[in-house]
Amino acid sequence: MKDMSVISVRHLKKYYRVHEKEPGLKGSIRSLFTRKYTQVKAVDNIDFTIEEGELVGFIGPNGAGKTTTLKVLSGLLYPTSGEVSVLGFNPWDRKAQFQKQFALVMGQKNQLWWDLPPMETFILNKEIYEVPEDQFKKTLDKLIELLDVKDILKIQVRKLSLGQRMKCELIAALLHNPKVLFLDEPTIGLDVVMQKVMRDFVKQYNRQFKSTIILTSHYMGDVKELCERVIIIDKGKILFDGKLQNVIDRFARNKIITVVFSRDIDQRKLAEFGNIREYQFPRAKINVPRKDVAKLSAKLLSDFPVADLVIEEAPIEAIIREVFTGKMKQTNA
Amino acid sequence: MADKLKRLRIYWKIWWTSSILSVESVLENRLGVAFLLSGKIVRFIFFIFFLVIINRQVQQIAGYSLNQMITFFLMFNLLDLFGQLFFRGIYWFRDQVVTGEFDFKLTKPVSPLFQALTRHTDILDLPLLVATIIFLFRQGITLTTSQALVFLITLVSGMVIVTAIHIAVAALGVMTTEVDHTIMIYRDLSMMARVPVDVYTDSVRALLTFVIPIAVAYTLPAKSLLGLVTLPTVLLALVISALALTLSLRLWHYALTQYSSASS
Amino acid sequence: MRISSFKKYFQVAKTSWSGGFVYRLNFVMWRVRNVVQLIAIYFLWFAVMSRNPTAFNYSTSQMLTYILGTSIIRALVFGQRSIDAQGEISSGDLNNYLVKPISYFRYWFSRDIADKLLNILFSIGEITILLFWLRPEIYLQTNPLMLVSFLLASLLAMVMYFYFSFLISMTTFWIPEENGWPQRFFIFVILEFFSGGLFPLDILPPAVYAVLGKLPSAYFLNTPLQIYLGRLDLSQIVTSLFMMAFWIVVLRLLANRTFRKGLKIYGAYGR
Repeated sequence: MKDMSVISVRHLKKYYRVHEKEPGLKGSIRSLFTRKYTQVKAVDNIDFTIEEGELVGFIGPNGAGKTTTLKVLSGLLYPTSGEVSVLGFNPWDRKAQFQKQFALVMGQKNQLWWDLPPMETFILNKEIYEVPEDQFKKTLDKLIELLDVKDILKIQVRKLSLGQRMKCELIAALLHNPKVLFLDEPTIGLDVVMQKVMRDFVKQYNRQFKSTIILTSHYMGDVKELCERVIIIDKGKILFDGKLQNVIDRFARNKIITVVFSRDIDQRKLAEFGNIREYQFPRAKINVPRKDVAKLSAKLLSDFPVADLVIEEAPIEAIIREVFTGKMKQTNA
Repeated sequence: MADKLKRLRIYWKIWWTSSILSVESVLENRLGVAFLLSGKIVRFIFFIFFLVIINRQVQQIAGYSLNQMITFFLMFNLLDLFGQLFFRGIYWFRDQVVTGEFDFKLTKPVSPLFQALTRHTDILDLPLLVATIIFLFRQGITLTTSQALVFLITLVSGMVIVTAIHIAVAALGVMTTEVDHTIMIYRDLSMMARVPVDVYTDSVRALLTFVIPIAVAYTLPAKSLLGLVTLPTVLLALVISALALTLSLRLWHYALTQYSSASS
Repeated sequence: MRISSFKKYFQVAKTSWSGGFVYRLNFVMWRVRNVVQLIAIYFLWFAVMSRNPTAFNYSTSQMLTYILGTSIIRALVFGQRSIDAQGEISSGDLNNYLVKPISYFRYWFSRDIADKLLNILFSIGEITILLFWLRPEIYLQTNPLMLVSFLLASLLAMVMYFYFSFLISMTTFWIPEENGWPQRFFIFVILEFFSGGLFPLDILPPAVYAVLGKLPSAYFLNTPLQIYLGRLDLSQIVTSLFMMAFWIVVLRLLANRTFRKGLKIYGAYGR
C-alpha cells in the first residue's frame, strides 16, 4: 500500500566532504599535496511525514540542514541514504509530472532573468510548465492582484527592489499552481511591511488552494503567524516535530507577568516571586515558572497594591533559544 | 622625500600581502593549477612549433631568420606575461564596478587605480616568465654596452606602455562597466606582435605604432635586443611611452569624475 | 505533446535573444574581438603567402579563403551561450532548472541556436566588409555536391561541438573552482590549435596530420573548410561525415551519462 502522505521522509542522510587548510602560504603549499578531509553531516537521519494542506515551519540555526532537506525534497540533491517521497514520486527521478506539481522558492537566489522584465520569465515559465493560455492568464491576474505588482511587470529585474523582486519570484513559482510549495527563507532581508505582505499571501495561498507548504525562516514571526506545526532541526537532527503550541508548553518554562502598581513597593519583596526582568515604577516584568503562574499572580494581587496585571507567554524567540541551548535534553529525559 | 619613501613602503607591503593571498587562493585548487599551468605552457610550445612550420616553407619572413622570429616571440611573451602577472586584477575589475565593491576601494587611503590593477597577482604566469627569460639568455645574443642600454630603455618603455594600456582599460571600465572584452581586444591585438610587425602592411603597422602602440611595446625591445634599433627610434619610443602613460592617467582621473556608483 | 515541447524551447530561444540585446555594447565588443582576431591571423598569412604563393600546397586564394572562412564557421560551431552552464553548476543556479519540467540540454541547445544565428548574421556582415576592404583573392566553390557536403559538415560540427563543450562543462561537478574556468581554458588552448583555427591542419608534417586529422577536434573547423576548398575527395568526405555522426552519438551518450553522474554528487551549493 502506498504512503498516503504528501511528503514522507525516512532515515534521510546527506553527508558532504570538505577539506581544511592551515592559514598562510605554507598551509596552502602543504594542502597542494596532502589534504585533510572532514565529513559534514548536513542531514543526519531524519524522519517526518506531512499531510495534504499542511503548512509546516522548519526552524533551525544557520547550517542546521533545513535548506539541504528542502533541496533533497526538490530532487536537487542525491541523498546519501534514506527514502524520500513527495506526491508519491521519488524527487530524484525529476519526472516532469512531479515537477509540474511543486515549486521551490529561495529567498537568496533568483530564477528571474536578471536583465529582462519579470513578465518575460513568466511567459517562459508558462511554456516550460505547459500552462494553458487561459489558466495562465487567470492565475497571473490573480497573483498580480494579490501581490499588487501591476506597475513593475515591465521593469528590468535588476532595477527592482528586493521586496518587489521576491513578489515576482513568488509569482514565477506559482504560475503552474503547484500542489506542494517549498519556501526557503522567503522573507529574508525584507522590511517589516513587506514581511507581513508575504506572510498574508502565503497564508491565503495555503487556505485557498489547499496546497502543502514547507517554510524555513529565521524570523520566528513568520513561523508563529503561519505554521501550526513546526519541525525544529539542528546539526542535521530533528529536535522537535509537532504543534507549535506544544513547543511552547514543553519548553517555555516561564511566563511573564507584567504588573502595574498603584504605589511604590519594596523590590526585594517582589524578587521572591521570580526573576525581575525590569522594574521601573509603576511597571514591573517578572519571569515566573509556568506551573506557579496562577498561585503567584493571586499572591501578587493580595500582597501588593496592584492597578493592573497581564500574563503573557515568553517571546517565541526565547523559547526556541531554550530548545537549542540544550534545555531540550533535560525536559526530554 | 622621506614621506614618499614611506608611502612606497606601504604600497609595497599592500602589494606583497595581497599577492600572497592571491597565491594562496590559487593554490586551493590543485587541478585548476595543473590545467591553467599546462594550458599556458602548451600555448607557448604550440606557437613555437607554428613558427618552425612556417619557416620550413618560407625561409625568411620580412627578412628575419627562424631564430630571430623566436626572439621576437620570446620578447612578446616577456612583456605579455609582465602585464598578466602584475595586472591580472583588471580581469576582476568589471565585477567590482558592477557589484559596487569598487565603492569600498574608493574609500580606502590607497590609490584606487593601484588597487584595481593589482588586486590579483597571477603566480601561474611566473614559471613561464622565468622560462622565457632563460630561453632569451640561451638565444646567445651578445650586446655592446650602448646596445644594452638601448635595449633597457626600450624594454622599460615597453613596460610603461603595457601599464598605460591597462590603466586606460580600467578607465574605460569605470565609465562603461565594459572591461572583459576591451582587455581581450587588447590581448588579441597584442598577439599580432608575436611576429615582428614588419610583416604587416604599412597602414596596419602605422596603426600598431601610433594608435595602439603595440609595436613600440613588443617589437621594439626585441629589435633592440637584435641590435637593430637606431637612436631616433629610441627617442620615439620614449616619447610615445611617456605620452601613453600621461594620457592614460588623465583618462583615469577623468573617468573617476564620471563614476556613478553601482545601484543595487 | 511534441508541439508544446517545441514551443517551450522556442520560447527559451526567444527570451535568450531579448536578453542578448540588453547588453548591446557587450555584444558589439565581442564582435570587434572576432574581427581583430581574424585580421591578426589574416595579415600573418597574407605576409607568408606573399613570400611564397604556393607554400604548403595551398594557393594564396585557398589559404586566405580558409582563414576568412574560419570566421563564419567559428560563429556557427563555437558561438555559444551554453558555456554559462558550468557557472550555473558551480554556483548552484542549476537548481532553477532541475526543479522544472525542462531538459537542461535542450534548454542550452535552444539558447545556443539563438546565439549562433545572431553571430552568423554579424559574421557574414563583417566578412563582406573585410572583402571590400582587403580585396583578397577568394576561392569560390561552385560544385553543388561540395557545397551541400560543406553545409552538412558544418551543421554536424555544430552539434558535435555542442555535446563536446557540454561534456567539458560537466567537469565542473567535480572541479567547481573558478566556475570550471581552468579546465575550459586548457581545452580552448588545445582546440585553437587542433581544430585548425590558426591554419589548415594539412600543412602539418604528414605524421602529425595523420594523428591530429583523426581527432574529433579536427572536425570542428578544419574538415568543413577542407570540404569547401575541395581538398577532400568524395570517399574522404563520406568517411568524414560518418565519423562526425559517430562522434555525435558517442559525445551525446557521454555527456548524458556524465550529467547523470554529476548530479549525484551535485552539492547544490549556496544554502
